[in-house]
Amino acid sequence: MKTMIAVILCKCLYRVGKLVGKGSSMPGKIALKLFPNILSKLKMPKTIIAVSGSNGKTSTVEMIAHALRGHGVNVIYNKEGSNQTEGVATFLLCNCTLKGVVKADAVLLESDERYARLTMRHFTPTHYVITNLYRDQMTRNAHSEWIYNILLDSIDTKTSLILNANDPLVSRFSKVVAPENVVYFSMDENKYSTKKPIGKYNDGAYCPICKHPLEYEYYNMAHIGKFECKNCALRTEDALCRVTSVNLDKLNIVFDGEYKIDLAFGSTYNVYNLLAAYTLLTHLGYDRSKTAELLGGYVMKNGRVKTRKVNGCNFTLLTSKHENSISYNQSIDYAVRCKNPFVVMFVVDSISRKYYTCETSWLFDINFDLLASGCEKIVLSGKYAHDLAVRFDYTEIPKKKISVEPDIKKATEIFVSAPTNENTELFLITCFSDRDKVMCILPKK
Amino acid sequence: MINVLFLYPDLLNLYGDHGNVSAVEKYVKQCGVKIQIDKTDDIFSADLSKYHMIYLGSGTENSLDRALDLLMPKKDELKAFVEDGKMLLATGSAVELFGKFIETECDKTQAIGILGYSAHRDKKRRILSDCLFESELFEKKTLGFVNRCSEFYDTENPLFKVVFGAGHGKDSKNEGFVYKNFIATTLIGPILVRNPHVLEYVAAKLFEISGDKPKNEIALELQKRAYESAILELEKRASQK
Repeated sequence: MKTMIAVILCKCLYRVGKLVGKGSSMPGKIALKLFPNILSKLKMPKTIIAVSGSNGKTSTVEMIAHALRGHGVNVIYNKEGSNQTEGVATFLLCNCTLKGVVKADAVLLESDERYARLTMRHFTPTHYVITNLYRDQMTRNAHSEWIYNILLDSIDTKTSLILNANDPLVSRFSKVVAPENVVYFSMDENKYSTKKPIGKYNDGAYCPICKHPLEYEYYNMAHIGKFECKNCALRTEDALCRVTSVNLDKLNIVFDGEYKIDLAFGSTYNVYNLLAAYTLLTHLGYDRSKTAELLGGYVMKNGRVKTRKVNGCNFTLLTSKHENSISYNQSIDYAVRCKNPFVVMFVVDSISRKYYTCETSWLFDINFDLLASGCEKIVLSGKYAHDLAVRFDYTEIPKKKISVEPDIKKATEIFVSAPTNENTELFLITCFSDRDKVMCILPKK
Repeated sequence: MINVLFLYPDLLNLYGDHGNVSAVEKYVKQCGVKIQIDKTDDIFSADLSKYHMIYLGSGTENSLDRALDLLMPKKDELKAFVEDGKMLLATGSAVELFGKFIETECDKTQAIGILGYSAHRDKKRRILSDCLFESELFEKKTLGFVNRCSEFYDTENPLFKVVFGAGHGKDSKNEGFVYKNFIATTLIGPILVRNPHVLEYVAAKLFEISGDKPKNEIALELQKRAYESAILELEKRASQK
């Protein structure tokens, strides 16, 4: 009876909320307040997949859903932004029968890393994908080892873990479950790999377990690579699935030496997301070749990367996360790989949509120095344009290339009129919280 | 010639703290004075007596424990370094290392003991806050962010008065520590970049210690503009609370 009331209530509130444009967490919040144990009363399908980590959760979830559907599985998943306990409650209650039976073959949950332990108190995932642990939103997340401990609380020893073997901190999760309950994914050394870490800091310098120096054979990005601790034996383990070849310029990769697929977007983190999805499906028993085919050329629906013409030039929005240097570094790396001259605009106006802070230390973790070559002009804007300007003062980039204009409208004018010819490419690198402030005033063509 | 030792540049560099060393390096150079920055994880083979300044930044709790293990054999030398009037700048969670003890729920570890304060860590609670402080040492207010799980007690020799944000404890009125040229604040990240008046103070002290005379006056215009706009933001925010 309780279940029925909760389901009806949640469905009604969700519809009302939709009409008045409210977020997705409110119905679940109310349902949980009235019936705190309601989620554990639901009859979940046989397969419950959770995805967590610092970066790439939304994209990985989308890719998994797309591939599972391609294999004929009726999978439901929570959309971007409803990854905390209340959002998950809304999502599940809205997708079940009045008797509380979740209507799907599989449930796929993007889970906020800080809330996973609260959400997973109510049910146990059969499969748990952990993408990576990076420096991310430290003003609320503290640091990645702190998040490791919080995530650890969400792991049930019966769950199968699908872990990034190239991330030392993520590999550490393998220590808490039986060896047969862990599978790994990894990316081989390729032409984009480096022998030394690139960036302003090195989170792979020390073993996360014993804090002795880690040794790397190669790095694929940040502290993600093939590593080994000679002291405590934490190392990149043999993976169930690997990316064996990468060509970001020609936009293709090869899974397991056999399955070549096209990429819609050429960046290392995109490849890791695809690999995570491919590995999960392989582990679930689906045919590797068909999964690869399904993931080939997959274009993300979440709109984080948008391309169009602006004043006749190619324009690309690279949505990045404020307070997340790896996300910025990947966007900068993408822009720098562009063959044509280019102009970049960075906007830091509201640091977060969800909370207030004026903390800008993270700008010092971003490797802006990469922009020293190929970049014609850099426009810095938003409330923190001057903090950005100071940060650029600590790079080798000539001052004459940099325009500082806190006013976003004026800065956008400088940005779109900067190209010297139509081969010049425009890149806007900023966060969800600020991108629309520019997108809505960009010239139409 | 000024010599700076940046200790544990990978282990203790969690929030862009390396910017503090870059700030000192750039400023001193612009003043026309030579400066050498040495980075090392191996304090044991380092000859501390040749340095005018040692810097340590923020680390995770595990990293701090490791750093403390590595520092302890040099405890007396570090104390003597401070007693000699040399500059030891600790920012972020590195402040924990230089008190008497670091405590957790289950243990109590002896620390370097430059001052008598102790840090108590709560692994379940994080103190996260934008902050605005003032100090007799500086004409201007100092801004930044704290991000730590420790509270401090036996807090004599405070550096700052809290205008708003967190102090030694979540609601304490004071923050940081100062003794001779030992300067410690739990503000994270490149505070010398964000607070040009603190950079000027540190550099002036360094010139005093080394006996070098600055040849040029540096205006730090960009930094001051960023500082002014951030202060405006913070004060607006404080008045809304």
